[in-house]
Amino acid sequence: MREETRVTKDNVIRNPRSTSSHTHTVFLVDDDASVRRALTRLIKSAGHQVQAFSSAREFLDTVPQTAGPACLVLDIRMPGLSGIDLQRQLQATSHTLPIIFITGHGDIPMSVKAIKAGAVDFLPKPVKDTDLLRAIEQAVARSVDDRAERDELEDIQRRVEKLTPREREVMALVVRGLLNKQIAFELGTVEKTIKVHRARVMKKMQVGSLAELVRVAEKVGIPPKNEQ
Amino acid sequence: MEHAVLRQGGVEPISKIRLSLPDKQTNLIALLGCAAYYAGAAIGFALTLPTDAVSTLWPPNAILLACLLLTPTRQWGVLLLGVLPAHVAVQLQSGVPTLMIFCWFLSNSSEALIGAYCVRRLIGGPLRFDSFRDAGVFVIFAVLLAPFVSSFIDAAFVVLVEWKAGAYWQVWRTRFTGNVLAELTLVPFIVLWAANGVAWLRRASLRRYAEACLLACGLLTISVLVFSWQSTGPGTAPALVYLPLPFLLWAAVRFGPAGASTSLLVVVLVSIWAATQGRGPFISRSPPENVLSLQIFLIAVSLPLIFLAALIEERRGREAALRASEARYRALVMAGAEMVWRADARGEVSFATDAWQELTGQTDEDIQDFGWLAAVHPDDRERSRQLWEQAIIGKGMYENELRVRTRNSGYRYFHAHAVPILAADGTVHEWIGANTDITDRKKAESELRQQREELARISRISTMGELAASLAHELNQPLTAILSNAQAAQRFLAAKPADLEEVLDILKDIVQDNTRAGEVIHRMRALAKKEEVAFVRLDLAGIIRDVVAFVHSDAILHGVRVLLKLNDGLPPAWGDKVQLQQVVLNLLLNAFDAMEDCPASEREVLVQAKLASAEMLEVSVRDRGVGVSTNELEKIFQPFYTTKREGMGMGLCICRSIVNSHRGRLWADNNPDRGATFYFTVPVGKGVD
Repeated sequence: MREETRVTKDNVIRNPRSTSSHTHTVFLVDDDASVRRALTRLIKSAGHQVQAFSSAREFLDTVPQTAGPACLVLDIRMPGLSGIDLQRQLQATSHTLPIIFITGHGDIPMSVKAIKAGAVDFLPKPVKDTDLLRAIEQAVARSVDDRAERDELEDIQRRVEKLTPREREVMALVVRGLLNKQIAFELGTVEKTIKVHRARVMKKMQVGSLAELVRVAEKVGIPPKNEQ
Repeated sequence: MEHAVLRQGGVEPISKIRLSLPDKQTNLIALLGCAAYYAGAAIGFALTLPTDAVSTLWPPNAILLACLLLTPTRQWGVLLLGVLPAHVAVQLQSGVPTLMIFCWFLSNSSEALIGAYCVRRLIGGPLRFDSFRDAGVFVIFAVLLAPFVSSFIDAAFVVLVEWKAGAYWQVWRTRFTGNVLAELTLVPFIVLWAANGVAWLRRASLRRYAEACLLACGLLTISVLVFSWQSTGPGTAPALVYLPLPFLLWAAVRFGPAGASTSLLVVVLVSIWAATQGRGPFISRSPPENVLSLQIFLIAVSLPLIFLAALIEERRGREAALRASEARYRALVMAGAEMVWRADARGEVSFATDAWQELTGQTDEDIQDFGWLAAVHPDDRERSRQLWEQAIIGKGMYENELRVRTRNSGYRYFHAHAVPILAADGTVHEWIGANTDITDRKKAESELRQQREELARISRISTMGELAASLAHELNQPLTAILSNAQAAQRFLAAKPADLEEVLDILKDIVQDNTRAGEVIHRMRALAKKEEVAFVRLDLAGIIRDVVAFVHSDAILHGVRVLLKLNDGLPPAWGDKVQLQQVVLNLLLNAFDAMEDCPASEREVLVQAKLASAEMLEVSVRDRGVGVSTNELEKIFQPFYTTKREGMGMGLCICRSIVNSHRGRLWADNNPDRGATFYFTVPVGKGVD
């Protein structure tokens, strides 16, 4: 990776590393071989890792559940499954891959659909390098964030799973702001027992303060929002 | 006899002979008949040789027959009645018993009636002695049969009435020969002069009159010399009787049947008159023998002469008809729009109607041989010469379209066409050719073609308008690739160290994409360009691939898969590339539209090309859309008929006109399962371009 690759006087591309400490992948789906080759080169020249596919189907069939952050550069108009179709399918399988659409002129209705469906960016062909690369960076950054958030969530989830049912009950009541006494009353036990449970929850959830516990618990939906 | 009478003479059944009420005309006929009969009888008596009961030449029967031939059948009764008084009057003079008078009237009338009836039945129209058939019928029935039959009756009467004791056969023989001679010499004379005499006399030129006079004088002189001047007895030279023959032939050849019969009559009358005077070469034996030999001589001269005159007249008539027909055709040729020309067996033009000279300004000498080629457009000259030479060598029809330079330096288009006239031995006698001016037709055709081409072009451009978005996309793809490649290259070059290898690859790709963009533009321009339609041999599969590439983007937009099944080794087609592309393009876009409402997975078009026969290539475009309702299968090719929401309804109509102009066929059919297939055929391109 090159630090501070200078392309033009005023066009400074930041090294993606500076955005994220993870290695990330840019997926590219375009049916047109020469466009695919050119875009691959361009994206690679900015230091990204690129994996290109000639159709939406191929992408769906071969793309692994990637561990690292990634984004998808997607042509809207393709034979068979179109870009929009792929976007829909990804959402259906709760993939949170940020998508940058590239499109020719005259695809306005499709573009609107894509934006509404939550595309990160939307670039008309021919694509300017700066536009595309900036969009990729943003998408990757978003992916990194998403990834981090999801990792944290999974981490919290794992911690919650370690709790006993009783400890979960206690935690739910703690984050609702009840005092030990009140909790003991709620659960029909003594305050001392609750104290022990509470300490165990704090330890298992790896939090140091009540405030921290509340933030963590909220992320995994404890207590359920309707009860608030 | 008046002409009016003759014209009425037609074939009427014998049953119509009846005594109609005498009117003015029939009275006249009866009167004339009566007078003629009387006169004839008088002549007959006058020409009776002494000591003989029967006349050498008995004219009344022949006169009666001639009168019958000249009058309509229905007036025959009146005529016979009219003649009766004359007959009675004549016979009474010679002291014939009353019974015999009526018997003779019966036999004489029967002769005339038999002759007239047979002739009228067999000849139909008026007797003109102008054909061998006319003469033959007349001789067999009127000259031979009628006297032959009636003489039996006559002789029987003579014997029964016991008038002038004579043997039955002798009477028969005498009467027969006398009547034959009379019929032979008098009937043609009377019939021909009565029918046309006035007209001939009126029409004849002075020169003709002089010739007739000369002939008459010569004939009379010779006849008198031969038959009357010669003294009787063994000293006469028998060969001298043939001296009138040259004059008779002269008359037959120059004056036809009328002249021949008149001259003949002169010879007959002179010879018999001389004999009655006891002079001439025929007075050497007993009277009956004299009469017989005179009669036989005259019959022998008359018969061939009548036939000769008839044959000459027949031939003259045919020649006149031929001349008239030739003149008619000539007039047609001269008056017609066509130029007609003639060339000899070697193809050297010897004659052309004035139209050619008037048009080109060439003189008669100029066009001789191959001189006419000078007036042919230089571009058409060599081909015309070759076609003409090929026709001459092959002795086949010559057909050509060529431009001919006019005297005011313009050009007119001609269709030339010539056929060889073969001689009996199969060699070419000459060539007859005709040139038809087709300039106006050519102009109309060319205008029509231009309009059709213009319409096709406009339709093409409008189709391309529909494809504008897809075409822009198609062009945008290589531009995108080029831009991205170029910018990537800048980055690789700015890197340290610069990745030159990658840059080389990029440049290669840029060139390729540039070519690709160029092709898109080229295809668009080719379809939109205003260009002369040019038929050449072309690769049909290539054309289909081109069009499919052209609509590649549109197919994606419509979510349609286009499958190709193009047979290997197809022979080249004969046609115009752009127009055939237009047809394939229209059919493809129609197929896309037809499948708009189908599920995306089923949108599929199959384009096939195969050899349908030795001469025809067939292309089919099969969709899986809604199909075409049966009653619309033909309507969709009509102008302004459309099943689409947007559309002018001209596409298929123009496609059909294009395919037709390629001598192919365009039609549609529904598939057994779903959708429709459009087929078109184009001829295989043979030979070299």
